[in-house]
Amino acid sequence: MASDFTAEQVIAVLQEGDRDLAARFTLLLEVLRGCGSVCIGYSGGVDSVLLAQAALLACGPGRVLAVTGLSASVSDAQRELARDCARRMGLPHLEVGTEELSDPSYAANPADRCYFCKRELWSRLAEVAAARGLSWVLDGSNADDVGDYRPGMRAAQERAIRAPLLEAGLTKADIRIISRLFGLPTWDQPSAPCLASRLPYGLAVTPERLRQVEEAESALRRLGLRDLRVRHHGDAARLELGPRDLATAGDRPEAIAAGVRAAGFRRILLDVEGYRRGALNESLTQLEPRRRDL
Amino acid sequence: MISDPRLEEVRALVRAGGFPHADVESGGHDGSIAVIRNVPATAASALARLAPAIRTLGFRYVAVDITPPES
Repeated sequence: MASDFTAEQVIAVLQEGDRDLAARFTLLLEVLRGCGSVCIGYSGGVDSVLLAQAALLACGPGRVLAVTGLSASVSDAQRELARDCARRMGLPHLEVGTEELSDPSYAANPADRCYFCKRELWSRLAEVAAARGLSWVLDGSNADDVGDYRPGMRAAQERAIRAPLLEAGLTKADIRIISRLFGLPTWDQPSAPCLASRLPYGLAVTPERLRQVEEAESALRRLGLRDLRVRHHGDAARLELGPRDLATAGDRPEAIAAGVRAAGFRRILLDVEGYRRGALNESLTQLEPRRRDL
Repeated sequence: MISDPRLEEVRALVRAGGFPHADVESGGHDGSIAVIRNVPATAASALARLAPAIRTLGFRYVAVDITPPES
């Protein structure tokens, strides 16, 4: 799927509909050209895929390396998606193991858990970049992330990791529009945060719990459900489904419950309000005024 | 067992909301979920409108129990 469109063609289309967006995308390309050579933190999600596409155009394939951190907190499905997307884009891609689960500060699952995960990730990517002579390590954060509670961004700041999408002022909506113009398969992909985001703060992150969440969510996707989260509450799974799936889940609770029970949960609970981003951060509202995307 | 006075209030709310046979218990590793039992899974959407009131009683989440009977 190497894109059939050049940056200039996409900018021309954008200028017809939204000149400000065209200017932001142009700025993104300028920022990337200024970087020279880049090592991108690449999850296969909508943000990092567009960042990689733009970097390929701005820097050239020989100056771009996308790196995916792998651990039990990354689902097999997400890993495959990242691999497939990189292959189709002609994107140089590397996978490195990360050890955040061995860090007691991360495994205890505090509210700033993401800081410890990102600290590990950026440390590994900085090593890769140094070994390969790449000038900058890049993060896929965008302009919408600034006001949210995102302790992971602190780790990026400590390592001088750059976020070109954010620097260019591109929002998530912008990124989806541009991704669609490039024909990227991620343009309408739901957000896919790591599996640890399904565990309430304070409930220890273990490989076994992450496996349970992954298996339960896979079972629900095999039933055709799309926008969902399985929240781990010890022996109970609390299912958050998107509005469309929640409306029809009542017609087949046995199939839904069976798939989740097979993952090792004793109780299966259907959240009446359904999937809402940042649901586990609802306990943090006294700490932070804004909620984070999870 | 020590009874949780919040559960009585949630039970009254849910029953008054059109589910006269509903029962309620706390669930989750930290008791943060108001678990509504003896209602069909199709009731979830209707119960959503009661969730804000239930949260004011100290629960963080409201869910319908769809656990199948042990085979």
